[in-house]
Amino acid sequence: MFDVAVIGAGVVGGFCARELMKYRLSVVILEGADDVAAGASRANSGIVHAGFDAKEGSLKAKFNVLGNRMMPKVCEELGVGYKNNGSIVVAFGKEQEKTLSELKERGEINGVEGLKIVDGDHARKLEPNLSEEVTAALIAPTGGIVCPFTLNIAAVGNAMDNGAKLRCGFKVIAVQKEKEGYKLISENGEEVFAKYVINCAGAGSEKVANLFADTSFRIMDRKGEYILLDSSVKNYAHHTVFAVPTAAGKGVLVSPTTDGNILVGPTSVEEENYDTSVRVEGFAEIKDKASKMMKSIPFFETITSFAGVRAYCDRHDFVIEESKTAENLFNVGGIESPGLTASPAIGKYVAEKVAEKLHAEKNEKFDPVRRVNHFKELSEAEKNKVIAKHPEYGKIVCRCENVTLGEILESLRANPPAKTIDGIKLRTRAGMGRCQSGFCQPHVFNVLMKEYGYRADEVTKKGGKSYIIVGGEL
Amino acid sequence: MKKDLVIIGGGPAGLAAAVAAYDAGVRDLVVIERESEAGGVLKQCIHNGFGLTRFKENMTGPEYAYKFLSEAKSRGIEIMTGTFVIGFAQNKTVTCMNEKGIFEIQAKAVILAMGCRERSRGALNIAGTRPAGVFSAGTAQKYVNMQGHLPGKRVVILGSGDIGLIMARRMTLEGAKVLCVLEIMPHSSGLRRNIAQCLDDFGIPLYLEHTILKIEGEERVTGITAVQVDKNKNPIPGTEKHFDCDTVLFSVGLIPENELSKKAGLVLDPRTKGVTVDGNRETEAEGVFACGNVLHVHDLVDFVSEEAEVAGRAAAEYILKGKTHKNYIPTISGERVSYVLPQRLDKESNLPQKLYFRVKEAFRGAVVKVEAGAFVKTIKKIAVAPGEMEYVVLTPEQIRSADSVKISVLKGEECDGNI
Amino acid sequence: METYNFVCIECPRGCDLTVVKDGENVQVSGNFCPKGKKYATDEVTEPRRIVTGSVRGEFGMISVKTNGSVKKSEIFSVMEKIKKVKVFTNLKIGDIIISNIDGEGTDLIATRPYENIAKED
Repeated sequence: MFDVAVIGAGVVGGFCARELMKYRLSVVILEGADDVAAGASRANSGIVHAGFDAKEGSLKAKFNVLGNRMMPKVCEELGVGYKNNGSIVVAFGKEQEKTLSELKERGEINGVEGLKIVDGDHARKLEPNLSEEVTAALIAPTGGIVCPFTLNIAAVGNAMDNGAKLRCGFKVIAVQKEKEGYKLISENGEEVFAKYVINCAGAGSEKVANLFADTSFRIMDRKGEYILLDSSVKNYAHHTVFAVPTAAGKGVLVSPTTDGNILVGPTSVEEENYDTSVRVEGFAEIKDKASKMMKSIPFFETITSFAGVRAYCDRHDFVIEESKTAENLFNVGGIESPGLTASPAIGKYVAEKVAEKLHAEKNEKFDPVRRVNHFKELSEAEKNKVIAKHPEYGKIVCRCENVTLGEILESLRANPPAKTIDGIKLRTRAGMGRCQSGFCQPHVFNVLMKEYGYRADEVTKKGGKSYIIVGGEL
Repeated sequence: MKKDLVIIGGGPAGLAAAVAAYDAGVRDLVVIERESEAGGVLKQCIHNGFGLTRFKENMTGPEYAYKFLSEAKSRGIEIMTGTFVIGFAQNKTVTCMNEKGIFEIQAKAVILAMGCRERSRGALNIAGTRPAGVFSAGTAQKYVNMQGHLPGKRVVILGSGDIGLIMARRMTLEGAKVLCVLEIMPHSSGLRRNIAQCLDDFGIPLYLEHTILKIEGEERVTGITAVQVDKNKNPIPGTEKHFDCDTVLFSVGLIPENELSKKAGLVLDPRTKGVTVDGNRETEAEGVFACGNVLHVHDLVDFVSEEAEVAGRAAAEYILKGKTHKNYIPTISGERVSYVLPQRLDKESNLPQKLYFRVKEAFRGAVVKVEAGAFVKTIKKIAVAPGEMEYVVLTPEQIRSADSVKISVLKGEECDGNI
Repeated sequence: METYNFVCIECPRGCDLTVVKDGENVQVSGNFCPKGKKYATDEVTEPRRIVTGSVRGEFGMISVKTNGSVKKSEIFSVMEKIKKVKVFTNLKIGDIIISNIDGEGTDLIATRPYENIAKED
């Protein structure tokens, strides 16, 4: 019997679990997919929003601003790429300039610091590739970028390092009320007992709530498609550049990523079913909208495209509350943008509430620092020291991103361990570069076979039945 | 560490350059190879058809590679395998990393021979999902030939590049069903004989002016939708065709791997995606040479070796004799020519110059026109195609009197009576 | 009398060959060299191909080829034999792995050296 089961190992579930480990609680994270960061946390803009966009007084506004302030320290503790690059919202003409003023006002009410509006020329000085048509811009110096999936992986990893358990491939499909707490039953018939449940199931959070007979919120899917450009054009943009938001969302943005790529997107498509396919019309829309904001975007340096599904709620705000109908259930749903930014603050808030409810004491042994090697960031002398001790750090496997065998092996050992080709990719960047794993995938494949004793037809791209080899052996 | 000559890359280009430099008198040289064994991509190109031009012999890729490897070994040329070049500067310092650590080599001359990579699905904006079972043709080739795993049983190949054609046959021989090869252009980008022996022999259809509209499948590929395209490569509605398949291979072009060249500040030619060179294959940085697929993508390794030998000999001359005065004239891509390599020629050179070029379109009855000042010559060709590199050779005398060398390709009927 | 058109596969030139077959009498045109003539003649009488492949060694794959062309109709039976073989010894380029693989005296030979020892990737 666990004290708390967190359903969903996305970034929100990860931070809930991590924050819970600051108390003397036994925690299990249940993830339906075969790896963490399988949903929206894996495929989003990676923006640390300043907080001027969310409606004043909303949960979105509150947790956005709190999360934005927490992010630098959290990223340092967890060793996650973060950059305070600043955001720019660009306006074209008087009508949109009015919206800029509203955003600035709203941001100030929300507690965002340093907002200012500048004219088009000033904005172009800050960001030279802005369109000549830009007439004014809102500058948000507290805006930033973060690597979304590493933040997710590191939050779960740090929770695990402090004693949390992770069960992947555990899709909760049934719940039984027990004398004390719940029995959670997976698709495969496995069972986990927990006194208290936190529902962080993202796009599936409505379904999970329904298992507890809680129908207090509805979740819909909204797909966002992106185009990613090679790091060779990293100097194209330095700030995150937004269009003036509309009813459909924040619109298409152009932003550097923490790994030096340029990200363009997202679109916004309502979906009946969970669907992460990219559409032909999506490419056209992204290019069209982004090209209005910025000059000659180097789309010829595209290395990949992808889509993420944002779970949005019929309340048009986050759901962060203890269930009013089911006992010992906390719902965290509808965490669409700015959910990534808000996630550390949501985790902290939820953990405090749950710990209070369970009368949990502080865990004095909690270690907030994720102790992994950051080989890439070492100096040459330090790298040589590491290689002298562990020669596998001298062996490059991914030539585009310069990922070493040592780093790959480490990703199989550090919490949460990688078990798939994509798992290694998300943790090490092997296969994320311009050749998109063309060269390194067969090597990574061999590493997985060797380390896990897999047969060739057992290695998967991303768990489940995503086998790499289905034609048999020669 | 100091070396007279550092060669970055131990594939066919690097090995041939090393042997040529050695034979021209350089003794203090090293080849840096990132893989555990030299030979480059030829190790996985187990099919035959290599060496026909150069050795008049029908060799397989490994045989061709080992021929050069044993030439290098018999001369005692050092090949540093498992070593990755992480930095390179125009002052000819090469920063390497291997299992012993990170170290620097200061060279008198450097030859860039890093080869090329395949364009990936991602670069093409193909719609659909991102399941397992989508491979670059060369990646699938590595799985099959080097690791003994057959990626799938029902295969669609996008792009009629040679690797794709070779893999169509290879996977068929290993028991897979190759449903079709789709090519967006109105002509194949592979060698004609590969269409014959890899597709026609096995009844594999080639659909020209077709592309993949959408990839389907959540975990593993379950199918694709193919579509015909118009002259502007836009899908024609109503021509969609669905194929149930578990594997999609992409053979949609090769890109020279110039990350190091870019880091060193060398400018790339947008047409070749390689650095610009003179007839000696010397780049804009003195003492830095480039050859093989890092310079421009070849379709035959025989020409890679030949080009590498030019670079190897020139690097040796630079090391042994020092800088020479150069008097450059440009080469110009005329009508229907997509690029000419080298980009510039030295009027002072005493060597005959072989100029490689590619045409932009495929047609029969072509006339190649070379204009070098007062010297003009025309050469008839039965057929030309973008997938087949062409060349002309000019003597030092022909170049000496010219201000530029222009190559154009005319259609037979355009020059009736003028030849 | 029948007329056939082929693209020659003997070299990268890829000549367009025309063959006119009249009973036993075969006329080839379009060929640049004698290899093309032989190829075209074989194509209308008994087409032949070199088969290449990769066989499993105890510690890795070994590339192989037939040291001459085999009947096109025999390609898949040659492949069956290639698939069944496994190598446990050292090999040099040219070493025979399966002798007389097509029943006509063609051997399957190694096209790369192979050391039968465990090695890293």
